[in-house]
Amino acid sequence: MAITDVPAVSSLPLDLVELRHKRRESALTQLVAAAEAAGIVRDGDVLLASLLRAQRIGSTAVGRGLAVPHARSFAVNRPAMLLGRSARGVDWGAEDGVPVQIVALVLSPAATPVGMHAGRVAGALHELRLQRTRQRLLDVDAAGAVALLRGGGA
Amino acid sequence: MNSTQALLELHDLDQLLELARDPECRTRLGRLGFTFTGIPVLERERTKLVAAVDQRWVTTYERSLARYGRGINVVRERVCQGCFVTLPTSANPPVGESGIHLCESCGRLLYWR
Repeated sequence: MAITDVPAVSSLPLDLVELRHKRRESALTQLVAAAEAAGIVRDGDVLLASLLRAQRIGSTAVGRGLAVPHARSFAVNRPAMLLGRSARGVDWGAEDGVPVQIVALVLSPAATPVGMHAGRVAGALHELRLQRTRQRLLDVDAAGAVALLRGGGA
Repeated sequence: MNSTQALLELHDLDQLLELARDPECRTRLGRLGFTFTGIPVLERERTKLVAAVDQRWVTTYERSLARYGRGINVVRERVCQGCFVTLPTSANPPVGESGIHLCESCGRLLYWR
């Protein structure tokens, strides 16, 4: 299934970030900085604090090398999804102990209804659930990865 | 952390707690592998954040949260995004560090961008 079949996610702007760090906090900082540079985020400090708090409620690593941190925040200007990838993996504290190689950061403005935000998170997870999709995302270049998630193939 | 930032973080924390307590979202995301075991930790964190916020805003924040489901709203083009009433011209963005204002129409706390 292509991401275009999941309307809540397909309409989101998508960006790809090569993660340089091995720690979860550093990776999140890098993703937030990329979102701020893209104009998606107004106040990076507030968003980063929210994302780190969200990790305390329960790990956002869902296993098999995938993590979907998410936030509904005043710091977010418009809905967006940022995709981070790391070939060597990030230590995300997943229950299965597998280092995270794909991070999908789902951002919604504060006014987004809770159900809609949860739908976006679920949509992102649904799209990345297959091992072969995640592996292709790691293998292709940045443009190819975005095209792959847009349903255009790599 | 200044008082405005603490208030914005408090708002985001309440949004997160709303999601974690919503039975439908919990079930939906729980099936996908998310866990929500840390709610008590976040409730303690909330108490700390409330202490960091300027106390004159806390009562208004809690009242707005209980009444409208959200503690703060934004101002866009001089319009309160909670009640959609245009603010009077005498209402100006606060100077200095505080970007928090009070809507005279609905009583919500407003974050002036």
